[in-house]
Amino acid sequence: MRGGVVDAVLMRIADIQLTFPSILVALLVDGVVRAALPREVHDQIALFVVIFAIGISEWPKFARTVRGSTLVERNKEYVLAARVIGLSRLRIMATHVLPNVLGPVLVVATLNLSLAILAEATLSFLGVGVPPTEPSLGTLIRIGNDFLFSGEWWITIFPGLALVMMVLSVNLLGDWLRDALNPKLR
Amino acid sequence: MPDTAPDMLAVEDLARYFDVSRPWLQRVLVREPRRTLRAVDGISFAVPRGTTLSLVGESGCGKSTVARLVVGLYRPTEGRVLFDGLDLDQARATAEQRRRMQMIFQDPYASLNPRWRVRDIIAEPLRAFGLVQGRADQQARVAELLNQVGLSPLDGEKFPHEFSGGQRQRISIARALSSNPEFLVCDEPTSALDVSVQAQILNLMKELQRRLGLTYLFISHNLAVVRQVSDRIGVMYLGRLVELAPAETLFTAPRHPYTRALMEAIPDLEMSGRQRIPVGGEVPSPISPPPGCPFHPRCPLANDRCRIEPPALIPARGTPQTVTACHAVEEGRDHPGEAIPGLAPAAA
Amino acid sequence: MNSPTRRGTLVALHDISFSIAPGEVLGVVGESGAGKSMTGAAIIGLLEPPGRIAGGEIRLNGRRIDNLPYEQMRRIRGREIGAIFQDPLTTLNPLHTVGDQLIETMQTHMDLSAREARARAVGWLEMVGIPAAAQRVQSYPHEFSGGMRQRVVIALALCAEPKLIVADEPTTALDVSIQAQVIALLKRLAREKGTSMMLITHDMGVIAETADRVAVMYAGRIAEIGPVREVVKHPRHPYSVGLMASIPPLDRRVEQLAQIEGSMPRLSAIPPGCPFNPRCPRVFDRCLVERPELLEAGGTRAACWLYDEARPAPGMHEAADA
Repeated sequence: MRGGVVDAVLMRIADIQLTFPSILVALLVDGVVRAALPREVHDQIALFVVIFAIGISEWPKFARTVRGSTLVERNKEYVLAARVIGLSRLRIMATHVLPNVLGPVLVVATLNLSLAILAEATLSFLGVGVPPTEPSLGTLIRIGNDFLFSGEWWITIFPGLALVMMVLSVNLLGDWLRDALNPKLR
Repeated sequence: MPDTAPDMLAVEDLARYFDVSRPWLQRVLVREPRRTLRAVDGISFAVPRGTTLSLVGESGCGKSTVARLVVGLYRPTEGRVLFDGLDLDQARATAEQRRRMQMIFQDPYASLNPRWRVRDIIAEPLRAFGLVQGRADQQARVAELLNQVGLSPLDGEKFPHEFSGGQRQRISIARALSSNPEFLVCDEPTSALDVSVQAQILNLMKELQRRLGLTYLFISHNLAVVRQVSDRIGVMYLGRLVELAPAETLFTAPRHPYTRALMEAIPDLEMSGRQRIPVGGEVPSPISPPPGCPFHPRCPLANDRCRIEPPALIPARGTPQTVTACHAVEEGRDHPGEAIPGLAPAAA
Repeated sequence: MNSPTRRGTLVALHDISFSIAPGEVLGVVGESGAGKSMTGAAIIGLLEPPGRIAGGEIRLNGRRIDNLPYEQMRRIRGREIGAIFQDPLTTLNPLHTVGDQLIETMQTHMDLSAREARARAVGWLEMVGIPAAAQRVQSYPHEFSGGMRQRVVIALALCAEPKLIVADEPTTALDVSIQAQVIALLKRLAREKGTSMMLITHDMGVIAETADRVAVMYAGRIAEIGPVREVVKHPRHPYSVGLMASIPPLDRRVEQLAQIEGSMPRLSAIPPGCPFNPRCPRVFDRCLVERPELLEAGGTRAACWLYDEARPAPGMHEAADA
């Protein structure tokens, strides 16, 4: 079977990566980039480095979801029917398989979007995310944390609340999006 | 029907094996050899133009694998498939040729893409084969097809889940017909349907065959259904054809002990009070089929020869229009027409 | 036993009433969605929430069981009512040997020593036709083939010697040749033990072979009920007539099979009056407004206004056989 080797290699890499907490992977990627680039260059692209680091740390979940759903869909009879009329693999993938794996991916995506927001906040809280000159909820919470015991609780609480609300709305949006894209519920 | 024209479909010594070994690492760790499942193990038959050949057998006998081999979803391990006299690779080389064969599947809930509207599902082959010019043309053709299978053109706007199982199977048929095929492979097209709906679909398929001159390869486990639609019937057991006969002959004079056992096993609606004699034992695994005749462990007529030598498919004594793979029939120790003495001592 | 059942917002079953005598096999047939499985589930007290019995009662040996608390019902299930489902894998626990499952069931419901229970477990496996039962008692469910597994399920349903067995499509997942074995087995055991059985299936052939009486269900109601020979050979309700006629015969080829036009309505769209009226070839005005009760129809009882002697249908004075 073609693709068998690529599949095996990629999935084993994903398995290995899944044994580490994803925040650790993000920290590692961020650290490597930091070490490799001069400080002023890094500050300019810090935002993208964070995006990249979080992206790398979360990919195995997406890969597994997509792979699992694809394996199910590609053996369904409507895909076979498309193969009988001789459509190309690429076309079948784009018009039949992809729309049907989108549902589960969307669920994972929204869950992970909120996780990514939390990851950014965590990185910034730890002081390794975006530079302090850039606005970030994590940075705000970290700064507020220092003043927590001096009675200035509101510096931390409000960014914290904002974070909670944002994560919640993203999850709700995901649920709604999944239902809206499902023709059975229309 | 001109005698010189090649058969619509001919299958010669067709075999398909599947590698069902465990993954490499596990195999190495537990020192397990590779395992091969012989889903189809050397079968030959032909379907003349405008007729229906049915393949019957129990689950795992390989009948669905034959269906998939015939339309090119699997590649044969051995043997070949000839479509209208051409090797399948050539017969499926161009869109114009592929248009000529279509397939109807078993599960009406899985055979239609749930995210597509019915009109797009039916139009997919039309577009793929370039059979329509422009939107208006396509719309008209889809409406015509929906009418042909007894649905309304308005149904084209709906999604598959808005239909019942029988209606979905009609949509599948409309889609299959859209490319004006000459040959339809029907893989258990009614086994997921309720009996009153099954009658609708069978009637529709027969009517379409009459009107459009279609050739069917019909796969089913239900002998009563097969009797209603077939011209010829092949009985499969463990990847092999054990009997191939004209439909009426198969039912009036079944020859192979397995065929006879299958007919015995069907519940009787006539309520004649006849005591059925169930065939004992179970179908062996196609990964390690028994040597000799695959049916011998369950066959009351088996002798030493059956346990060693695989029988060939040859014309049966007495009913030469039937071919059967059975040493007992060849040697004349099968007592056709009588109950087989002790047709397997079942548990009951 | 008497069980008129209803369900919350969607009425899935409506005024289902029937009884099963000791040692009798009642067949329940109907197409998917007719409510046959739900009737079975209601009787064994395993209706899936939010489904619930909204009216009526179920009595076992004269004792009402539909309103029992869960714990008591659990004891009745297995001890007095056995259940057999379509898929043997969902009934058997994959983590325990079949012997342990048999022993556990028997010890829960009967006063047996461990040794006695083990001996009986082997005996049951022998009785359902499992070869080398003494060894196989140690096997796990996945070590059996589909047909053998269903035999184990039958042993499990019968081992506490219940008075009633509810068998929901017990042979549907099996091949024809195995089906015959399992049906013969069920029939023999029910007869020997005097067990009553409710046999739910869509396969008329199985019913004809096994049942004493049969109930034909349509859209959550009983359309016709009567002795199996009557219903199969001379169905009275137009739906039963259509259903029997649409079964492809094994002994001859017919050019055009009889078919019932349309399909069964969804639960949310059951028409007023008789639920079969949109598909019925003999529909008349009364069917559109009034829902028929089960009426005497000469040999069977049918829920059809054609058989109302008090108000004969227009153009007919006696119910014609099909």
